[in-house]
Amino acid sequence: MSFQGPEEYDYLFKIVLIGDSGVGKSNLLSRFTRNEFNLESKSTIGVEFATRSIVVEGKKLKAQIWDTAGQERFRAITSAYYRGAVGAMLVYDIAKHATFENIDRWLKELRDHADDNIVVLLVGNKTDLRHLRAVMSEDAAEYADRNNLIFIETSALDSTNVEHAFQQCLNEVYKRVADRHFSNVNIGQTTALPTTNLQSTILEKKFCCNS
Amino acid sequence: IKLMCRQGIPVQYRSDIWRRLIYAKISDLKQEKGEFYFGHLITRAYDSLVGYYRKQIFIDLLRTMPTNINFSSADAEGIRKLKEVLLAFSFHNPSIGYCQGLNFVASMCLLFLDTEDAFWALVAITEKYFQPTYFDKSLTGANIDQEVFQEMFSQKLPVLYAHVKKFDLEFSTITINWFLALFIEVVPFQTLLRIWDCFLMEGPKVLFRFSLAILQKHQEVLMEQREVLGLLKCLKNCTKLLLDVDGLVKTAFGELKPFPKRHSITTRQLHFEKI
Repeated sequence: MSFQGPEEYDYLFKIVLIGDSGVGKSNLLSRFTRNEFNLESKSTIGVEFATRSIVVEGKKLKAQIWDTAGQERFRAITSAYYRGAVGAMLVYDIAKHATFENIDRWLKELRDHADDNIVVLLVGNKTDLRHLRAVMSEDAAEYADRNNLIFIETSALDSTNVEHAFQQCLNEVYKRVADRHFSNVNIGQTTALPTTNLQSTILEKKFCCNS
Repeated sequence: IKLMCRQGIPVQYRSDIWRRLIYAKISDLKQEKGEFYFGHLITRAYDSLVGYYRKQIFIDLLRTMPTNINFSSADAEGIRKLKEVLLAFSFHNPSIGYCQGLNFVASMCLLFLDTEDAFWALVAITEKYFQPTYFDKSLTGANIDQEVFQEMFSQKLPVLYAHVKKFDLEFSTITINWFLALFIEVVPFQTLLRIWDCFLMEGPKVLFRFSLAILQKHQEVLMEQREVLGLLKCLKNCTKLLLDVDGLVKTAFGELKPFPKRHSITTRQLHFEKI
């Protein structure tokens, strides 16, 4: 039984989606990787994942995107979740102010568990609910600025900016990799070894078999 | 009766037998709390607007069984029941309150039991079947069981275990919801029912058995995976398509012998609890 044919790529980047429960993490994932939005979505328990490849400057980047339960108690099991992540999407719901207030805690969580050089996007999701907006774009932009995050607003429902958000994240990761921000990138390795830094998790390789 | 549970409870008896198995676990507690306990909790649930867990419960109500007509809209009958069960439970057991995943467990119970029985089923599962720390704020018990499971996995399926260990992956992040949500959303519904029949009869030990049986049955194809996401996708697809439930039960209870006794599982749990 094989689920995917052989696939070539130049880089494999792990991106994590984090943020409170119900902000739309799973739908951002499905919109970007399958162009789907599920009105009948279910609570995520444990960990979900999906991939999509894009081309940046002639290089094929394969994004491995991870999604997890938003409830606080699941963070205990998800510290491993951050391992090897080079990008993070910190998601809140523009119509629920509390989810924006919690961004601070999510950011701290990232700072505690993820690599120092991780690219972080602040994502205000659900812009389709403009009449219910509770978080002003300016406030979020100002917060992002202060914390060195890239800020973007999206709607997984009507697709606004979803593609752009992930592209921007991957571009920035690629730029940092090209500039050797992530030190000791291993070349040509086929499987990542257990590690706590990014050393062996950015894989530069050709002709990888994903079957 | 144990044999019947393993063979699958006939559909016309399932509600009745589940109910009996559950009440066998909590009848003392129910007696102690008195016959109006559940009604009292419901009243509190409707009176109180604060409830710490209320918000999370409300977020999850419609994200539980959205394709079932009884659970698909805010005013559906099943949603009202689910809300009552989960709110009542959060008042009954504040140290667990509400843990994501319990929405799935409660909705499954509501397919076979009335509201009050489903509430007691949730009590039985979270406090009697599992240790009371299983669903707590750090998922203490659930994490301990994952350690125990990893150890069992390494002993029973050493070749596959070594293969999985090569990837940069905490395998327990995948298997934890097999335990926490009792295989809901993991295996097809008919298979799920059979696992629940065994679980309610024999307890959490069967979750170890079924988990190992799933891995063993798909060992070959899992061994072929060369990449972490390939492995995860493969595992997910295998479990989603696990329709040969008789074969699975046979593997779980037959081919995995000798299986650690319950007390040795407890010993390992205590061991990891100390760490």
